[in-house]
Amino acid sequence: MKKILFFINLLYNICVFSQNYTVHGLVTDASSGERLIGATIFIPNTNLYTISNSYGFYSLEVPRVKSVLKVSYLGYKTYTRNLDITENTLLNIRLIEDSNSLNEILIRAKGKNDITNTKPGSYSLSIDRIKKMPAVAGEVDILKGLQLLPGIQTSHEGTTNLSVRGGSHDQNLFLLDDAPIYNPSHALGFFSVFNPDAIKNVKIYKSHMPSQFGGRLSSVLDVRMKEGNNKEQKVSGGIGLIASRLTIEAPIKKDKSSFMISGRYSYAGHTVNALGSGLQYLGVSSLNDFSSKNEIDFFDMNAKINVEINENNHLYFSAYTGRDHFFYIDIDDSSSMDWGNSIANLRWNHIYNKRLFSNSMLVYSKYDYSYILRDSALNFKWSAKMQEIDLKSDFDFYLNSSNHIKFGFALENHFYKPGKLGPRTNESITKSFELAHKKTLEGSIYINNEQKITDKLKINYGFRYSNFFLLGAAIVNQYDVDFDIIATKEYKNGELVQFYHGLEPRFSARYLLNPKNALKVSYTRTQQYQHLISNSTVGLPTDVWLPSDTHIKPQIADQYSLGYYKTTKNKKYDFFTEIYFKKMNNIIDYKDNADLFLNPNIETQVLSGSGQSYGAEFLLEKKTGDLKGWLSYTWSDTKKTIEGINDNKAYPVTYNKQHNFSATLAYQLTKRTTLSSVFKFTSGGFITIPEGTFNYYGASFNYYSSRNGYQLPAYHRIDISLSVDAKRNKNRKWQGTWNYGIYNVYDRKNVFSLFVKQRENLVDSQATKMYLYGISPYISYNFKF
Amino acid sequence: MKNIFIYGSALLFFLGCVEPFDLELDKVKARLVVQGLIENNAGPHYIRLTKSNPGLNIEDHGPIVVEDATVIITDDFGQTETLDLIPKKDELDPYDTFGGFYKTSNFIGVEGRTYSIKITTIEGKIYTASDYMQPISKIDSIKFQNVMGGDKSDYYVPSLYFKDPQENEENRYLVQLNEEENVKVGYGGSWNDLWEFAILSDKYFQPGKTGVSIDNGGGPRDWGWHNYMLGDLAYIRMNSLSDQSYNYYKFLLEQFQQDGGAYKPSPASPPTNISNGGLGFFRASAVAEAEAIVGE
Repeated sequence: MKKILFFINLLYNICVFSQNYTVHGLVTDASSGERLIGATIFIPNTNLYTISNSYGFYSLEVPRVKSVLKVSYLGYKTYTRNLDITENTLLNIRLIEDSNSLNEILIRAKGKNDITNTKPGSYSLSIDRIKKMPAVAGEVDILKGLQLLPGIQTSHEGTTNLSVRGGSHDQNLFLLDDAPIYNPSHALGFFSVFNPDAIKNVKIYKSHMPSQFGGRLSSVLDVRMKEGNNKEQKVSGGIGLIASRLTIEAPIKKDKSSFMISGRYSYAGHTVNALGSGLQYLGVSSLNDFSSKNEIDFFDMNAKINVEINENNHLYFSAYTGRDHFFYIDIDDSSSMDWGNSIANLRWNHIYNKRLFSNSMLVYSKYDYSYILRDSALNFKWSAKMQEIDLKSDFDFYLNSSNHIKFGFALENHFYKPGKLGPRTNESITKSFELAHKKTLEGSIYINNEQKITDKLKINYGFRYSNFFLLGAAIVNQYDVDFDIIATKEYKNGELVQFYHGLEPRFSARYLLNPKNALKVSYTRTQQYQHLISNSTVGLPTDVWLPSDTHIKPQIADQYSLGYYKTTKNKKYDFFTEIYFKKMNNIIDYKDNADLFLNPNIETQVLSGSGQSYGAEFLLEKKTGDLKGWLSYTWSDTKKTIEGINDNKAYPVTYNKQHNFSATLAYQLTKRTTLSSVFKFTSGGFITIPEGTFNYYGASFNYYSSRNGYQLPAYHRIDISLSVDAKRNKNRKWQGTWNYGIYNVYDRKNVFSLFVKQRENLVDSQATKMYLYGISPYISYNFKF
Repeated sequence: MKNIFIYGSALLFFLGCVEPFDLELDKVKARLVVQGLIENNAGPHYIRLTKSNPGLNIEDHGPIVVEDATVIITDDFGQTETLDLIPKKDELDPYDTFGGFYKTSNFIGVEGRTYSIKITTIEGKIYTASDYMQPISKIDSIKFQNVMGGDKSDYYVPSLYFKDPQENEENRYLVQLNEEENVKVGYGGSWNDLWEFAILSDKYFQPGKTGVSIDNGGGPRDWGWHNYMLGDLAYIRMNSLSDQSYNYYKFLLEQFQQDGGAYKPSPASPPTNISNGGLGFFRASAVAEAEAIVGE
């Protein structure tokens, strides 16, 4: 009798498909309590799976039958649990680290399988992978690691100014725990502001931009700080020749709340001075003019507190502050620069029910920058600042196993102080001057659905609606064709000066040809209301951020991409190729001989037009075996066409590097030693070079024709490093690792900048190149206990 | 996991080095270069016409001169004159030796007027330009300050005292430290390695401060200080500049400071006022000059 009843029950369940249960909860690290982002929760042998969100939350519809639930995440042992549930269940999952997989060089965490996610062009990087890559001075860096992926490159060697798919470096949105960072560089880009000790996860989006992100055309870099171990106190730190760091994390109340505080301080200037003086003393000829009065230092601090109020409510408070001081004589001996970002973010996670999760936050971000001209007569300080206060809310709604809806809104209040000039002493002949402050309000709402249409076809569609209000007090000029003022209008405080808005549709689709091959397509429209007016080809901290206004319209981009993704049968290799086309409008560039310094009418110095970028990307990755790594290749072309520049003809952007190839490999020689190397090759960028010279009152001067008409020589180098684990003493917890490395093994003097200057005889000109790094060996020692 | 990292790195980063680079440029057609100045006196005023040099190296004999063009100067009060080419002579007069110079005979320059030039080359191409002569005050006095130099030696920096001719408008000046006529000509030789022009604008000066210390000019080997000796007779000549001539000299002086490219904007040709693809500049300036003994 019981058997018959059970049978009927089973039949009943199989027939009524809509009767499913929902399992939801949080995925965390068993030993530290950290929420795990992007873990895959799935039912094997079915198509049911979901991914944990940025706060570790997941929700999965499971069938009413007995099933097995598995959770996998790179670096952790797969979690298995038999499900025999009779109702909607809260299931919090704790994953245990798998120490074997930490030696791998892979830098991409996977969903159940990379090719099944619907977000083409997104990568998730884990910090442990980046820490294994060879790097300059032994200092690993997230932004440097990203440059080894297809479609991402830098404008100049050594800087962290990222150009993603032909976009300029102001078109990337850097988010640290959801708060925007305007300048992610320390020391002019030799390091980034992201301290690897404080970071948990990094994700970059370059094709499909999820609807919740907006405000930048080319990419979103979503960086998440660690919460802090909520089980026991951990202290870590480091001392080095360039920088030192200390991180403390501990529970406030075990399993319920914890904090993390991490600080880093760099005295790179002292190191450079000592090294330079030492080499000069030893008679190294190329350093005869070296001056040892350089001042390069910075600090940054990350702090986070998180408190679990109850099962469904969690509060987080994150803060970051950093400061840079830069004075490097070989680059500019008359001025020094100071800058810094600060953010503070209060977030509230709320789990409404098994399907609805929300994250609301109050965000503050500040970026200020200044430079000091040390000339004895002029002796002034120029400074600028911008601040914003935002209120944002994001909702994750798991409607059913085929639909995952996200929606939310944001309200942003921006304040700009675009520039202020002040004398530094009483003897200075400079008088005070300040540009008018600016105030803007930006709002946005978005809604998005990830929908499974069939077993093979999954689509992700939605839109974002954004608007922008520029408020007074302001004075707006009207100009004629020659940029002479013909009328002026004054606006009172708070009065609306200019309004812009835009609808940004976002769409992507993934079609599984078979379980190992997929096609992905995407279309993204983005709008950018803030612009970086850069008066240098590289990008300095003193470049000015300005909001759109009556004359400078918001930038708009439409990007299309089509990609083919494949994984081999034994999961040994992953391969993808993607082509993209991006059309950008209202792109600005400065006109010839622009005067941007403290110019209250910047609109008379910049011209706008359109830009176009297209390319093809390839990535081949080997994931198992003694030899692991990846090869990445991008072919691309990016040009601008702006009326009034270059005779209205299209011209390449400076960072238009046609070929971009990198190989990152690691070979496990023995159980304790790994040999790794990075090879990078990019075509040269473009600069403006004189067409000829003319004589004026006895001196020879250059004249120029086409903008960015000269291509620099190609850039290439190889780095290698060897890591050796010391023999482990079984009685002690101490584990040490030696790293030996050489950066730029064959000593190629890659061009950092090229300029043409009159020779001392005042008759002819000479082209000179400046290069940064020759061959640079390094040693480092890591240990943990 | 507790991690403590120690770096014992010995490395050579941050130390930028420079070396010469061989640019291979395509040869393009030469362009006309105009070098002209009208001062607020009876003249003669000199205009020089040369050809530009494609590529980066100028031949030793100097630029190619243009001696077969017609040059006409006018002002907005009806004055007009066709200039005469100064023929080459044997004496070592700078205006003869290097060629390409045209001069006026009867043209009088007065401040407050707009001057125009029209050049017609033998091929029939026409170039025009114009400039407004800004007023100038005379120099009240020159004083010298003794300043410590970078290598522990001291040197004298001159300061000019003069009244601001226009209180509410920006005034701009070109300051020359050399009296001799060769400043107007310019030699290409290595002994004239300092292009002794400096520019001034009173835009950011505090009101009432009219004592301005003068830069020593620009050049590729700019030591940064003047080389006046105690007791020397120092000569300073101030030229008034219009908005466009100030910009032109500003960009010329900036070319001397090209030192890295990466941290400076995309370079462009200095903003000439010569039409039709010409290079150089046609300037009208009122002049004030003064002399003083260094140290007093």
